[in-house]
Amino acid sequence: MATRRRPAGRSRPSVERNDRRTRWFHAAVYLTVLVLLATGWRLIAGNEGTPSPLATLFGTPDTTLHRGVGWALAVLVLIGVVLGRKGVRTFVAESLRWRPGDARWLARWPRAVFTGRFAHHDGHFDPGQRLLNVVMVMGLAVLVGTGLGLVLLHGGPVFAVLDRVHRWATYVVTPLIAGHVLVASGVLPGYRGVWRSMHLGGRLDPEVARRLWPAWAERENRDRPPG
Amino acid sequence: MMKSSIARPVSVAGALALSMLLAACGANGTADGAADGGAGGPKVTITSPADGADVSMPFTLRFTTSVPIGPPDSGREHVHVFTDQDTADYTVVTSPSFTIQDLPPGKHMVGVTLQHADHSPAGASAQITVNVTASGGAGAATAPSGGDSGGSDGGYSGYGGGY
Ligand code: HEM
Repeated sequence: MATRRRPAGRSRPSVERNDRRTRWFHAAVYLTVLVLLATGWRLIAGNEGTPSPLATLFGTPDTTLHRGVGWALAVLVLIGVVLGRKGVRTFVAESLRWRPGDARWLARWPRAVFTGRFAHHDGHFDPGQRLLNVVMVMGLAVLVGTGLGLVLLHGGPVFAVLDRVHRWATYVVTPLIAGHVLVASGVLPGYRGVWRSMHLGGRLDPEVARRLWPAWAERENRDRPPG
Repeated sequence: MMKSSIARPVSVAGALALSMLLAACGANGTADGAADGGAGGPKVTITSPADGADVSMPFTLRFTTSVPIGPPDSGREHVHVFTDQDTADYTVVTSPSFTIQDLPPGKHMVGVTLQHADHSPAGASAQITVNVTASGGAGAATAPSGGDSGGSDGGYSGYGGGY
């Protein structure tokens, strides 16, 4: 993660926020989660018997697609946790930290979303991201856990309970994912430029890095000055 | 400084290939003509109309199941009703009768499959052929008859169900 000058011809320096394996893992998780959201909501809406364009593309009913991609997500999470133990530990530790100044950051957040003038925080993630990380990851873990219960049980009284939890976890996770996509896409003025941190090389304009994660950007700059 | 390496390389293509494979595996279970679930397995039997009956629109499909059925969120089995071999385009039915509407005149296959609450196949199915006469023609066929008719002679119109 270093602030580096770009190759000749491109003058602006950039700072690497997420490395390649993190970006691939993130992309694989969100592709599977988006398919699960689409097929899951189709079930809630009662449209499961009419194949969606996705189901037509895969040549299989939406419910079968949901179960198959659900297994894929479960395997993906398992691989991520086993092979990326160190990263997972850091992610959890950085997401669970809380400092008194974080309340001030949160109070200023609604305006800063539009002005870009966020309060200072010293985390790797900003306080809003930390809250989102905790609830969203817990929600997804509940979805994977109950989803596996559903496919393994097939039916019965315990299935009925897990199904209710699965559905309610979807209600919680859906607006969080929508919010995350809105923020991370960079369409909001305060978050302009942020989408690059997870895509196309994962490198950010240092200006954007300082606006969103000032202490992290500072540490990056100190540890690896522009080359 | 914190390294942002949450995981080692996991390829999206790999994940997608896996999901396609799993989806394909699941799809096989819903293939047409799946036999009833063996000796002790669950059964579904179409009781009306009779196989080969003339019906007019709309008509009521009646069937019995060897296990209690209900909505998926009750944890019970349910039935998928479809027409003309189009198993991907079905209606979830949770009670033992169902009104079929809007089939054009001609010969049609009507199929039912028993599904677990998680929508995976329970291994039982039945199908009949009906001959839809012009609307207002011969009354709806209600005579009970043996379901589980297994295969029929094909020649269905291309209408794709989707009630
Ligand atoms: C982001 C992750 C997921 C989301 C948003 C999600 C969403 C949903 C929703 C909304 C339903 C419909 C529930 C209902 O109608 O009561 C559903 C059903 C189901 N899900 Fe998931 N799901 C996810 C992950 C999984 C996983 C990992 C599996 C397991 C492999 C799984 C297996 C199932 C099964 C078997 C059903 C059918 C249950 C039924 O129709 O009642 N899901 N899912």
